[in-house]
Amino acid sequence: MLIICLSLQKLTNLFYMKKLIPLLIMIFSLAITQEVAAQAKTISGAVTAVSDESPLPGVNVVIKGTTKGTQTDFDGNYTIEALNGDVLEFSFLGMKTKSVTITDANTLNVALEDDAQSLDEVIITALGIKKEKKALTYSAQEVKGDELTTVKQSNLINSLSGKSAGVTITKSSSGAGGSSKVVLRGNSSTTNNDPLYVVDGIPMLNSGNGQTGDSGRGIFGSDAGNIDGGDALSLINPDDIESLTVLKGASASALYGSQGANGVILITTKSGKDGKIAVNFNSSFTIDNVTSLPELQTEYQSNSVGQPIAENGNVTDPKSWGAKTSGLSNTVDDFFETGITSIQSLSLMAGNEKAQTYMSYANTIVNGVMPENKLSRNNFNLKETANFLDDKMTVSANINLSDQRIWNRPVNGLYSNPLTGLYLNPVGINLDDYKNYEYFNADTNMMDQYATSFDENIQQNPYWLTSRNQTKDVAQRVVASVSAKYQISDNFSIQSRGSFDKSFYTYDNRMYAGTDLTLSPATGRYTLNKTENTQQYIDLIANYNTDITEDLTFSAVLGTSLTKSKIGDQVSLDSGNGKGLTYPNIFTIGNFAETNFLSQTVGNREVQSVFTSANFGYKNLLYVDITGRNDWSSTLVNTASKSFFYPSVGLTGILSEMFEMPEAITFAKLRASYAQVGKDIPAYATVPLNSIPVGQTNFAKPTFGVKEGETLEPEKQNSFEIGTEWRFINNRLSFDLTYYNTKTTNQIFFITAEPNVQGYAQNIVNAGEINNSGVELTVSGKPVVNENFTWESTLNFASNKNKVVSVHPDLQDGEAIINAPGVNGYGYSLIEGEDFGSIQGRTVIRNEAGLPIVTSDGSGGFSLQDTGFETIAHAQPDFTLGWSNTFSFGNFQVNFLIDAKIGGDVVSVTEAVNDFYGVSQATADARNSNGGMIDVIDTNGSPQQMTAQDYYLKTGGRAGLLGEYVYDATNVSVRELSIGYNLLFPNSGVENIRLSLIANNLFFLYKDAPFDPNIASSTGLGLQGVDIYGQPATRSIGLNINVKF
Amino acid sequence: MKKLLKYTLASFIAISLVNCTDNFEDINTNPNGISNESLTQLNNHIGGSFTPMFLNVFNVTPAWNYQLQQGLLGDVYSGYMTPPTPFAGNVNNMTYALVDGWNGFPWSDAYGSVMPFALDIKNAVEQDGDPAGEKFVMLSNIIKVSAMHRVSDIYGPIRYTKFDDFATTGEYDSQEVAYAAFFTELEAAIVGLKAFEGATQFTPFDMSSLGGDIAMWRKYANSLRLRLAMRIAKVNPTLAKTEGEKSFSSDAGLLEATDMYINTGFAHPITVISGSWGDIRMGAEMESILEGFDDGRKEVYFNPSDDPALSGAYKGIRMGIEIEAKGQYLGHSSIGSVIDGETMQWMSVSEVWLLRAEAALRGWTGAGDAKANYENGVKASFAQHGVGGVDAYLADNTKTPNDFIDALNAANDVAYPGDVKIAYNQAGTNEEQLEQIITQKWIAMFPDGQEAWSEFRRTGYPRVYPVMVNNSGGEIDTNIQIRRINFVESEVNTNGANVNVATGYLSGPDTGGTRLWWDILGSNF
Repeated sequence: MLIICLSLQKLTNLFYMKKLIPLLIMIFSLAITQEVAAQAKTISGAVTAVSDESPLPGVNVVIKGTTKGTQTDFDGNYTIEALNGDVLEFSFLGMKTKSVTITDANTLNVALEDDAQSLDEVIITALGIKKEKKALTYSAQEVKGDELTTVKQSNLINSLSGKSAGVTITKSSSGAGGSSKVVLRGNSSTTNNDPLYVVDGIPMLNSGNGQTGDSGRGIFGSDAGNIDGGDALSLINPDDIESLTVLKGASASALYGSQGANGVILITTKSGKDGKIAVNFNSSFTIDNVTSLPELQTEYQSNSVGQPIAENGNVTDPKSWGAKTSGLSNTVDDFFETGITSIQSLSLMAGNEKAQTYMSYANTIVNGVMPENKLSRNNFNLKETANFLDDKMTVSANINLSDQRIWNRPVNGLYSNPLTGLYLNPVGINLDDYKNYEYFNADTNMMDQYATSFDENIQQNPYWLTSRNQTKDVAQRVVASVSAKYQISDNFSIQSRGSFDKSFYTYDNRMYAGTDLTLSPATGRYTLNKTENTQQYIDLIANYNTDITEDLTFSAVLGTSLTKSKIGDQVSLDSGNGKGLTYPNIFTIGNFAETNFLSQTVGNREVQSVFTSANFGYKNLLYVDITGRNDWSSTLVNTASKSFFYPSVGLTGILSEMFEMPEAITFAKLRASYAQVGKDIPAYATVPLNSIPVGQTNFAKPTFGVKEGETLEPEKQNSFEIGTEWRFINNRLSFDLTYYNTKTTNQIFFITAEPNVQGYAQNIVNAGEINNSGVELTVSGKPVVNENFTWESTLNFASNKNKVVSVHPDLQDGEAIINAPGVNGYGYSLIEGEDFGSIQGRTVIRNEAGLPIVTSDGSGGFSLQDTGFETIAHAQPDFTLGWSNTFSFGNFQVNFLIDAKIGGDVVSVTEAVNDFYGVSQATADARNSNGGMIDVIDTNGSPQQMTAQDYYLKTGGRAGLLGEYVYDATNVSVRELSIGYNLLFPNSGVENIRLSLIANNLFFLYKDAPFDPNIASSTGLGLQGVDIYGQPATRSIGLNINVKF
Repeated sequence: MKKLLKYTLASFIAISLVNCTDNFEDINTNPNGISNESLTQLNNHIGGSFTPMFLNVFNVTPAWNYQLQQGLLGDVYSGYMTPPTPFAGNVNNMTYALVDGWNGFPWSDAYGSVMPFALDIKNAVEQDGDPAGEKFVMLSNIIKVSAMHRVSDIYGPIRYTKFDDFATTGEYDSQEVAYAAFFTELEAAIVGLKAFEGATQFTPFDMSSLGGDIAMWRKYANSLRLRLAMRIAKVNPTLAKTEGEKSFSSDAGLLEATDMYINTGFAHPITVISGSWGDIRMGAEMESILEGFDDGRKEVYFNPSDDPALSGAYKGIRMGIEIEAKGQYLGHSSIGSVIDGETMQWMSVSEVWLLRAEAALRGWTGAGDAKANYENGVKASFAQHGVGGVDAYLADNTKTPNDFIDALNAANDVAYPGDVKIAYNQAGTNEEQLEQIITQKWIAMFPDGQEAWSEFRRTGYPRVYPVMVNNSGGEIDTNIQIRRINFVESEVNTNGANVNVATGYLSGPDTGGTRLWWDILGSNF
């Protein structure tokens, strides 16, 4: 599999890497001094609690100084291969860890004492390395699988919201199967802020079929609307998750090098267990209803009312600025349907000491709240682990298959979006008359769209769009991985992992003849995109650990990995919006009238890495952690260096071991770490080539290039964090506080090109500095614990301040434009001295009394003075809060989660356009007061008046003055609620049945914005903090049944 | 154990050696790209660069690009057409609220797809070292001037003479310097291409109606020189006369039989804008003049109105009026068969005759007789559009443009402020004769609104109606009308210092109200 390429130069490069050599020498000199002794034997025994002599299931039994270990079964029994003289460590949460040296006896029964001070929990860290939690030098927060599945969502990651400090999750507005934007510790990069997902130690390819990582397409959307293709993460079966660990800072993820710059989310999936057979069936069923709909008026009708309606349904005036009338109705509720989400999953676990199996199957069916929107997903997972060669070798193999089909995934943006036609429907014109969305057009001898208007090309009959602009999305994913580990000696092992991760996406969109001619030719339009994403990963890692002296422990890792990826390998077959189809409504590629819209794209990348880490522990009270990684990336050709190095260093002191503490303090720890990570550059950026643009016949020059005289470098992030953990009164109360500061430099910016002779519209440059600093606090406690009632509560708080310190020196006014306003009113820029992501818009200029200032327009009317484009909003919250609570009494359990995002502002294009059309309640209110006039003042200081209609036509609309449509993003919601009851069946085949009533997004305790600000128009960079006719939020209420056999 | 470790170490080194980055260049090369080397096949490294130039003097696809490059600038400011659509709440170019997000397109089309390709051709020819390649440089310069004078006529100062050198490429020329460079390059091409007449190497790359005929390209360049000479007749009459007379004395000749147009391979963008989108309609001035003159070309230029209330009349819309909804004026006359097909006109024979008429009026040597040229121009236009009755038309001595009556709102009614007639009146004053010539040239050049707007700004003819709604906040005078477009945002953002220098070349602030260099207030003579 590995091809040896003899490159002496590379070898020298590698070994003269000044930073690596000392580590390498150290590790190997230590390793070589070790010798093996003795013969392995099988030890078994039972673990009980000293207090009540009850058996303890799930106790970790580890051979000290190794990662080799097992757990006790349900009856507290364990079996492990060990050597005479080995020390077995028995650890269990809430118990004192006990170490016992193995003598000749083959049975070893142990009783553990209660000890709240014990914190020897093991946590999975980077590269799958298990570490004692107390020894960590950085912040890592673990979320157990069942915390994510109590109230299940169709995308697993959405369940993480509010459950980990410093993780901000924004859903896309595309409903079930949509991708989610996940940001750890604030946006720091101009290119991509997505964390790396690592499943069982193997980096996962999270590229989707749509918006993930791209910069969003703007207010209109593409011709078919802003499409979210979903991400790979949304294809995971939540029930397969054992636990999820969030490594927020660079120190935690430095071992992942260029991929880990935005933090890492480690996912550990369930495996079969030795000696245990378990069957778990879970069924969840929820009813979903829309909430947070825009407020529409029912007082003023359209001037079209009473006027003739054209054969094609067109009315005379698509806006609603007519007379005040009573008895109007303008309800859009009829359009939305009651959604249904049904998730069934089954898992089987079985195993003995030689082999363990885990298998699961899940089926998800969603009927969306938008008509014709459906999702069907099937997941299959099989994991097999086996031990060979006297248990020295462990091999595990995993195969994961998913298949997801989505019909008519909701879009946002103004084009091809049913919600524009729905909300803008002229008041007084009955939408029911348009449910029959087509009529027979005698001229063309075929059916044609029946719609109130095609105004601004943003409106079509919503029922036409759901029935005659049908899309089908298919996502299929296969991940196969193999891992083999060989324990060479007690303290030395090598491990290799490989995976093949492939996903296939098909997007099929059929626009029937009759669709708005801006978006589809008169004969219809057919788009068929086939996309593949492939990633191959292989690594080889050596682990070594030893006790150098009685007080000094040492462990080290040396490894190498190779990642090859082919992302967005797409063939796009589009009949286009030129000549379209030869025969109307025949959706096959042979019917394309021209081939100018066909295209092919692919992004190739290869990253090769060598990495190492060394950890020292002194007397269980002081720990030092050093890591280093060197990456060679294919994207760095034609730059000064193809490689880059990431170091990290961390220090932890267990204060409670060092000093005498009052009895109330059970544990105290202080940690600090520093790391430097980075990110390679976009593929092909350094090899500009001509291309044939979509829709054109001739070649075009590259649209962007490196600035004259510059070369590109990887992005660099320096991060420092310091944290402390305290536990009080036998763990009844604990907190974990972290302060961090990151400085990201050498950002990749695509900026408007300096004047150049190549015709570049943009330059790709390294520039800028973005600082993030913040505080994360997790407080958890058990305010009430008694026999009948327990209350456990966890509060996650995070505050992140980010600042764009500089952009590129060439840019005027320190502004790097990410998304230019173009012909619309919304722009997005990074501006020196401001928070990351400045939403740009124009605002009405007002005098001190708040009156809009106007100038005469020469015909008796007025022009509003506006500020020009300037920063009107920053979407990031000042701080986030998640408060989760569990109440247990008897067999009842109640969980609820309150999620709050405080601060930040969002912008609504939806409201601006609704105002422009006179359909919003705001316009009715304005017409109802002050005689329907808006008081303004002219430049001479004379009071004047504009009609509400004139005013809203000038401030509203897609190109309007969006500074008037800024809302506080602060919101507090009851995000999750579950009320569960456990039915226990002792001595029967069924172990446990748990019934729960579950609810998600139950209601807002506070919200100012006219939409749910937790939903984003795009998970990419360019469309943040703005709602453009996104699907409204949904509230889900349902039932969950879990049966364990 | 030591052996084992040795093996382990060896395998690590082996894997590290896989860190062989030799194939990184291949991996990081877009397999769907086209390298410059591969373009040398079939001489596309030179010839292929002509295609984007041909397709960007007027950008033809996607149609919205044309709409922003010209459709919502010259095409509307010339009085040719106007949208029924109240874009952005009717606060837009038409009501003098200049939309920066629209108005950067003439610039980006030129600097993205014309200037760099002209430089590529020059560099490729230099590199090949074949003297026969010189003709490509001269031909590309003709196209470059065709494009860039239009850009200059929008903004004024442009980046031109110092473009080719990266160190100076950001620097602007005043419009005067740019025009001097246009004349120099055209002269070099007209003279230099003589030696290449009969050469056929350009034929496969020529997308124009000139069919790769170098002699025809000389005629076109010579005619273009006449257009530009006339443009500066007011600001620098001496230079104008010198350059104009060169056109008459040159052995290249002028376009007399063949209109210059490009076979683009795409539908004319106005078909899409007028037809599919319904976003452009007949202008009020077109209605006044074509209907007043009972001009047969109206049936080619426009379609009868769709709105039943207008009973099939040819009905235009006045630019810059109050419009609440697109539907109000949507049923007015859309653009007619003149834009059918896949061609884009750069210069008509008719325009050249009418330039000759004005040259005669101005007394330029070699220009011939004003009346004869005028009549030839009108005849050429009728012939071009297959319209009959030209003799009767030219003899008509009574018809004048109609006053404009708005179909929906009498507030927009306006009298045509002139009584220009069709039959050429040699007895009239110079201004009267000029008004006849320019009015006929305006009709003939349809739908090239950019050129018509430039000539309107130079001469004041025909009489374009002022806007009713002026949202410029005082920057643009309603009666003086819009004179130029402000410098583009991307330049201000990345090339601010040079834009400041360029603003100094203007006669006023960087607004739409400031006159260009050749746009001099006062009489035409």
